[in-house]
Amino acid sequence: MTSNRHQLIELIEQGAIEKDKINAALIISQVQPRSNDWLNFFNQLLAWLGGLAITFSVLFFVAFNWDEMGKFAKFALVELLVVLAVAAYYKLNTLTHQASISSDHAVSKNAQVPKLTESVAKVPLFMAAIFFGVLLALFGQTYQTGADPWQLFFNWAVLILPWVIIGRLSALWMLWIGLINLSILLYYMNFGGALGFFINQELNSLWVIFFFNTLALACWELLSQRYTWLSARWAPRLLAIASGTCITWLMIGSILGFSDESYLSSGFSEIGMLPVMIWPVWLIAMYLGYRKYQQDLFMLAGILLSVNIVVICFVISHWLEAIGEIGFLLISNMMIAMAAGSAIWLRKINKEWQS
Amino acid sequence: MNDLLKKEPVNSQTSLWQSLLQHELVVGEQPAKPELKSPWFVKLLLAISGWFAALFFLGFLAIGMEFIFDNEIGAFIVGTILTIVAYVLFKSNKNEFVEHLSLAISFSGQMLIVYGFILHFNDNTSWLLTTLLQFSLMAIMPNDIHRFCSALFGACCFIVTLALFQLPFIGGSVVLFAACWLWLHEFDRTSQQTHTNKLTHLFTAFLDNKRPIAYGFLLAQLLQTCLLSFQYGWYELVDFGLTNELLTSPWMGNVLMALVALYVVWQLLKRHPELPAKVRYIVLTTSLLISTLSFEAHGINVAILVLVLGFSASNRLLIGLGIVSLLAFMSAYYYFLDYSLLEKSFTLMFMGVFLLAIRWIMLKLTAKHQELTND
Repeated sequence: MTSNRHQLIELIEQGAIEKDKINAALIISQVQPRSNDWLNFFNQLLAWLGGLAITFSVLFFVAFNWDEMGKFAKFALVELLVVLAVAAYYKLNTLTHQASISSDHAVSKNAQVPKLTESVAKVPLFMAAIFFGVLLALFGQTYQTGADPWQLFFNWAVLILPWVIIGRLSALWMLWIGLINLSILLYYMNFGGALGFFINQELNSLWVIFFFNTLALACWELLSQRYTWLSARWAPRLLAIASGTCITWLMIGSILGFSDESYLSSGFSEIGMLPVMIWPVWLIAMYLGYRKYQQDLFMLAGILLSVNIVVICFVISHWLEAIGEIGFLLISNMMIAMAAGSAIWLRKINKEWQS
Repeated sequence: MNDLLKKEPVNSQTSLWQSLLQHELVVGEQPAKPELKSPWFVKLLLAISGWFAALFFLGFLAIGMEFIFDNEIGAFIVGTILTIVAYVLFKSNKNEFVEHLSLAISFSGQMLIVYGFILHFNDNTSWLLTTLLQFSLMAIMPNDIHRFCSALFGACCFIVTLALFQLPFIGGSVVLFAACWLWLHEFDRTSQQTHTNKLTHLFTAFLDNKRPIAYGFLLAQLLQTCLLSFQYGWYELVDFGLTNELLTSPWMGNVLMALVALYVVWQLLKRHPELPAKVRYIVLTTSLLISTLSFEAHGINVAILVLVLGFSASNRLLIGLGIVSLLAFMSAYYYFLDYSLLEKSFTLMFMGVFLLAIRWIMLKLTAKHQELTND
């Protein structure tokens, strides 16, 4: 599916539209927004920006740990904000429903500017979810509960889960998945060193993050066929980047772990052969999924990137020293050939889908 | 133009040509679909792998032909030869492998020439020359990925060069202005006549390939702002002794940035002649106020500007870039050391309430306007 924008750019470049008619074509094709579209855009943008600015402001305020304000006043403030945000969501949500019902009944003659889109109604819910985390952090800060940092994020994720489910908003689900990822990372860092999660036993965290994000990706893709509000592509792409980065990194660790260089292999000695078995499975699953069921060129490009990196890494760690300076030339040419080959293959698939 | 606005716009993708025909904007048969272009992420992948391939190629030269690196003459000669070879290859062939090979060869050539500059001048002049080199390659090289990379590096070098020549803080705004100008004139076509003058021919080529250049400039400015918001004194990091007195100060950069934002808003308002003068003034004042607020929280106006530019041409990549940079700048603000968290909290609260108030006023005004027109 090519967007109107791309189609129009092609037509202009082919010279099919005369110079003085381009402006009119931009308006007809809706590539350039009309006044009403701008109004709608600013309606949503200002709501989100304002909401985010206020949320960050409260976050900074609590993080400052101001002595002159008593702890009860602070608790009261954040709790009040949570309640206000939830109440605002409830009110806006009802209003949106009423608006949608009334617009179903009476078809307005003029193109009315929708004051309340569903996205705007969800801003306070998103704010409430973050305020709740601020409240938990404030609790930890005030009473010095001695809990580990990962517990804060995990509890936060568990406690906002009901809101996430009723919210039906991709951004809220991504916040939730992000919190779980963060708590996994902090859990393993807690028991390893600060830089620990890259090497040795902390590679466990890479495995857990890989499995969690792959599972989340699979669920997202399956459910998005049923629920239209999950159809935004940015979220599964981010999840795929997380899952792909982890498994590619593990695979590189596995390759380096078996190389002759002692300083390379020492850090990865415990990683074993497991990535060598899991990585191909991941590749095939991703390929089949995104070639056959949900056509997405971005994902296929990601798989090829992973393959390119792993192959180059294998060649560098095993052959470079043996071949000497010609090795550098060889690797340089290999990179060019593999990247160009990937681009050609991706274009072929894209052509197949377009026709 | 105004009656066009009243007509129903196109909704279905297949009917774009049909509706253009209906409005008499095109004539005859729909032209055949041109060769499919790779999407942006594939081009990005090619650019990055081209750079890595160039590094390995230089590694090969460094070990196998050490004499090239001994003095600047060798570096200049080999670098120039490589760049010319790349140009000839770009011109000659449309094969993807050759295209990508030329990309890597050109990158290696550039790095060698820059290495020569550093050996020969050993001072700030090499930054200036690198800027000039990158901008000339951006105009000459007939390849979109190359144009993007040259524009990005050229703009980065330009900002640093200005800082080294006692003019810090203003380079970013200049680059942003260039990017915004290109985006605002994205769909303009130069006339197809033959060009007698070489210079006009070069300028035409530049204008007809403006998208990669605009992306490069914009990314350079976003990276610069990111550096500025995470590490305010990055100019001091670049320059090892900013001993000379500086001719520009941070407020000048902020003011220039506000002017760029005003220019963009003004140009976009010009596209809607139906808007009453009152609305124009309100929009301009609001954009000025947002720019003023981002004197404190860096980059927020830049991110909003990118979002608005993206929306003005249905460019989803630009909108995504704007959202990502907005989130990055907001989190960078947390670590900005010049103000305490309490002061930042108040600034943000003020900004949030201000933005919501604008939204409220905007909706009130449009409701009133609609009531009036309905009557």
